[in-house]
Amino acid sequence: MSDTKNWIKALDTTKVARGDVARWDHDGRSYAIFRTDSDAFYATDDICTHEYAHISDGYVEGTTIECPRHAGCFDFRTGQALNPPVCVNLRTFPVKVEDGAIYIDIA
Amino acid sequence: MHQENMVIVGAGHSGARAAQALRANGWQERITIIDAEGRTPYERPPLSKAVLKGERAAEVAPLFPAGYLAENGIDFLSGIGATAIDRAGQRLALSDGNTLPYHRLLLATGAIPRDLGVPGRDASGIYPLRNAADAESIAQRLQPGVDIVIVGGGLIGLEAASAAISRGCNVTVVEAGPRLMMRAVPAPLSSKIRHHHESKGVRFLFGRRVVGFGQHAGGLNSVSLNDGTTLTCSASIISIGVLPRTELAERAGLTLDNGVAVNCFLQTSDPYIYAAGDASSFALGPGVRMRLECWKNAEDQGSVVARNMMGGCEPYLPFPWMWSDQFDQTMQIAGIADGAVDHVERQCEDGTLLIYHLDDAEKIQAVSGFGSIREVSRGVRAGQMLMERGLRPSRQALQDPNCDLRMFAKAVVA
Ligand SMILES: Cc1cc2nc3c(=O)[nH]c(=O)nc-3n(C[C@H](O)[C@H](O)[C@H](O)COP(=O)(O)OP(=O)(O)OC[C@H]3O[C@@H](n4cnc5c(N)ncnc54)[C@H](O)[C@@H]3O)c2cc1C
Ligand code: FES
Repeated sequence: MSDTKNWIKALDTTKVARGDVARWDHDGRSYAIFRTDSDAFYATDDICTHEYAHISDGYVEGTTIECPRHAGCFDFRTGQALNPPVCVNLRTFPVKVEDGAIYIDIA
Repeated sequence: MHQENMVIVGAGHSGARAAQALRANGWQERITIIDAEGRTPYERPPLSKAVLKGERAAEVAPLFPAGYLAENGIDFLSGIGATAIDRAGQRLALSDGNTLPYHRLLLATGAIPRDLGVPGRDASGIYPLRNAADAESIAQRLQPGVDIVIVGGGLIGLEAASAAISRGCNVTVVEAGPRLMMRAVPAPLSSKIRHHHESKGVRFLFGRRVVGFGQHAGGLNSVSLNDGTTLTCSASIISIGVLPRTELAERAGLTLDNGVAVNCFLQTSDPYIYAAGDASSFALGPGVRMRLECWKNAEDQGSVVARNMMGGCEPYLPFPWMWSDQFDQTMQIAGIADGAVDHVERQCEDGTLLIYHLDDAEKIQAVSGFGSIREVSRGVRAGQMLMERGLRPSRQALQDPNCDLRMFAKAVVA
């Protein structure tokens, strides 16, 4: 196979509800794993780029995640910061789903 | 070549945001911001949190990204005050003797802390908490084992109490009213906040007023209360609310009404002059005015006012929302509870308490919460969404912590 990514098994798909987000801690870092209403999966850093908050504690609407602390929003598909106070984009990671498990390339 | 100048007095949150919004909306001519404070423009909320705890400096939360002002051709006159407005000539007089012509003028002058006019107020060691210099002076006083008296049990006082405890101080909060945050939150929430603070070591004295400060060699050494109590302390923080900064508007003869009065377009009684943020009281409807003192209001008004200064007529619709961090807990309030007749409590498993305020038609008017960041933000956000869409879930649904309130919105969209 030509799959050169460094996939690491994160969570079972059942751990992330549709239209919601779940936190995954790995090797001292936190990741946010999103599942849209139409079953697409995405992964980003879980720590907000503004002050400090786990964005997986925040509110998902469509393809946006709103930070629980000061309501800065990101597009979780691209990591783009959408409104103040956030102005630095979130890092995103490639995701794949296989046999009911979510894999992330965190390299 | 002559260029029209948009002049902004105040580089606080609303003034800074307005300058950015002017450029973002395509204003290509001049923009000048004037601020008397003489600092790199910064966010105030961290002052009573991370800055008091000594975790970071005020400038670490700048309002403009580094290089933004220069890259966007915005003139910033720092350390200079605006002293008078010549309305007929459309010129602003400055403390350095210069005058600036303006195309439109924005008064984003913020608020000043209320003071206590009691004997001994001139002792050193008594501080308001509004700007970076206040926070830095207080932070130096918050040494382990030191006695601190905080006057006023509102949001700023409680955040200061939490910071002082985390630095090992002995903290007493004196509140004239019967409970904490009287204006902002309902009784069950204020009692929850009180118990949390007490569990961390804060001592509260309710229904008492400060009548004097005692001093020794010019430095504060006690606070006297109206019931005869004397509290020994070496520093005191006065956090009894703020007053809108209206002196410039007043001297120029603009209409005032608990702040610089503006219409729904944030325009003052002079159509060339606008006001935004803590300083402005805006028209909500006939005969109804409101002045908000929170970050979200400064943020939203800053953007709306910029578009209106450029010729737009966008009414400002407030979506009041604010947060506060106290110890490991967070508090958020959204909406306006004034028209509410009843409330429903939602008690989450992790101890978070959320309160939904209902009007006589069972519609949510406001929501407030204290507890974990996760439950507070999710519960308040769900409440905001229900308010915006005019949805009315049952009382049982609001009460039940296992009921995901977002499903009501989804049901409507689907
Ligand atoms: C300690 C603290 C903690 C806070 N925490 C929170 C929080 O957790 N959540 C929340 O929602 N809100 C919080 N707030 C409120 C929020 O910071 C304010 O609502 C916001 O700063 C208002 O912005 P503003 O632009 O209206 O005014 P300000 O930020 O007060 O800015 C006004 C500026 O105008 C300048 N100025 C005034 N008059 C003149 C003049 N004549 N000439 C030149 N310059 C002038 C002043 O120097 C000042 O810099 C907090 C406020 C404080 C003080
Ligand atoms: S910490 Fe996320 S918006 Fe401030």
